[in-house]
Amino acid sequence: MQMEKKNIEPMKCTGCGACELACSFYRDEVFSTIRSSVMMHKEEKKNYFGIMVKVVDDLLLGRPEGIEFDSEGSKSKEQEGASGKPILMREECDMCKGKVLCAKLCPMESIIE
Amino acid sequence: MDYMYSGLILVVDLESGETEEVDLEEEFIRENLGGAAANLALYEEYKDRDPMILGSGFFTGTLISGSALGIATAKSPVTGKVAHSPLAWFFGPELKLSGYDFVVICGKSEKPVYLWLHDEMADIKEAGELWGKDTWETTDFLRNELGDDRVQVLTIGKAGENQVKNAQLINNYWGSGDKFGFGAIFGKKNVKALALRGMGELELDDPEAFLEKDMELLGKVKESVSGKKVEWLAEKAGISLEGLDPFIHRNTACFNCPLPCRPYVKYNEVSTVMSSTRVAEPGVLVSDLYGMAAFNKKLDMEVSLRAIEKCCRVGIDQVVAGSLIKNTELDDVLREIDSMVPGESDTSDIKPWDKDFDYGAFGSFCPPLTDDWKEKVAISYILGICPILLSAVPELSKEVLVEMINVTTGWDTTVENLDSVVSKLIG
Ligand code: SF4
Ligand code: SF4
Ligand code: SF4
Repeated sequence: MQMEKKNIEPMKCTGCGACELACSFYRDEVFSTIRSSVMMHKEEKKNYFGIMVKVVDDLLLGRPEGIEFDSEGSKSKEQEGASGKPILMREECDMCKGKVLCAKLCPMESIIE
Repeated sequence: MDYMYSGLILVVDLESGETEEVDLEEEFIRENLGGAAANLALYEEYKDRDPMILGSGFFTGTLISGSALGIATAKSPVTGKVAHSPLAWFFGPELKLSGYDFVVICGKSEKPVYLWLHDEMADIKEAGELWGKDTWETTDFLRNELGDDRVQVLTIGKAGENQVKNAQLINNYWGSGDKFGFGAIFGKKNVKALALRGMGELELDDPEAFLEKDMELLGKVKESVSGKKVEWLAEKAGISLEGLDPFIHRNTACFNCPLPCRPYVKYNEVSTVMSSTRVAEPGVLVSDLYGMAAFNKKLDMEVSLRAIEKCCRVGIDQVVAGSLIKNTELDDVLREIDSMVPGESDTSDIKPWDKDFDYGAFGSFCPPLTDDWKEKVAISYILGICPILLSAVPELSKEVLVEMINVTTGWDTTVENLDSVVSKLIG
């Protein structure tokens, strides 16, 4: 089980980052933003933001323009290794074994169970 | 302190260029909980070294809704007294997760510097080439230099460099809750910026029990704030948003906040454009409704919004600049704001907050929203939860917050204890 397109409604997102906390909490029972399978992408000066979810061999992008898988982006970045985008070194989403914590803790219901 | 904090206080001595790490003792947190109360205790401790304290609240950076606040404490150039300014957005959480829960900045550097805190490491770096840059250039430069877009920056523009009384600390690109001229203190200390990246983690005593209670609480919080956005806040503040709507791009929220009261507005691009285009600087974040209103009383909405951007870039309080402004044409307005930031300019008669309310040591982050506003603000600044959210959600009561303190620490503290910490701030 992993996050699917139907689980994300990008235009409801406010860029608050609770999903990152939620997933990190699922992984390690701590408050942190860097352990998560879901990660915010932000271009702050433009107020452009969305989320990326690490799924098996792929990234699921939920952006204002829409929701898509980005396997190519994922692979090419993966080759950059440790210097690549940190999301590629993260664990893959497994729907928290049914808990789907990021959806439960997203205050805007931008991620849905 | 094992839980809810990273466990370190950083003491920066700008005279010698040395930094020192002090353990954050559990006793200290039991006595002060955190945020403004802890800052005040540290201020007293380092008083003779002209300190400015940046601190995180007890819940800052956690899954409790609205835990976005960091607090700056120093002697205000505006009032001459010790005061607290709230820093929302992502500053507080990033500070705590950088490894340093509190930072005490002592003395004055001989040359311009910036501070870079990350992964329990603190560097004092030369900022010669940054001095003179506006805040947008500074944040762009630092994020590029430090190689991470998520670096949070607290910086000053010309107003702060020139120690203008109402110089404001700017958070990344946007106005902050600094109503006390703390930007001038950065200027005096020769500190151009503080840059933070928080990749740490905070432990808690009983994660399972916490999660259960937190989810229950979030359900209630969501009910209370349902549909509340900037319109709600504006109505409470008695501020008209007429003419703003065509500029609103998206409502945004600070860290883990369910009440997105900060609209981002576009004026260099059609506001409904949702993709990332080549327009690098399409608009600005409206983070101070009073500031917007101060301009909008005299200027049309577009000029007001562009004036807000200008205030952010030069780092002056928007309410002060908006109260002083005499011109109405855009170019003249921008020039006039520039004329407010040389060292000799005098902004001292203007109070950067609602004149009808005595905010004491707190300034105005937002309008008084409840009858017990001072207490709400004190609790908010101690625990690190935004006062707007605390006011909008009756379920975030003292009892519930104390219960959450106990679940996360294993303590058995009481509402009376919270009250006694609050009384250190409001007597
Ligand atoms: S569903 Fe669970 S594992 Fe997947 S991103 Fe959300 S919190 Fe993480
Ligand atoms: S928690 Fe929800 S609203 Fe917040 S950043 Fe994640 S998806 Fe967006
Ligand atoms: S209520 Fe508004 S200012 Fe307060 S944390 Fe939420 S978005 Fe930020």
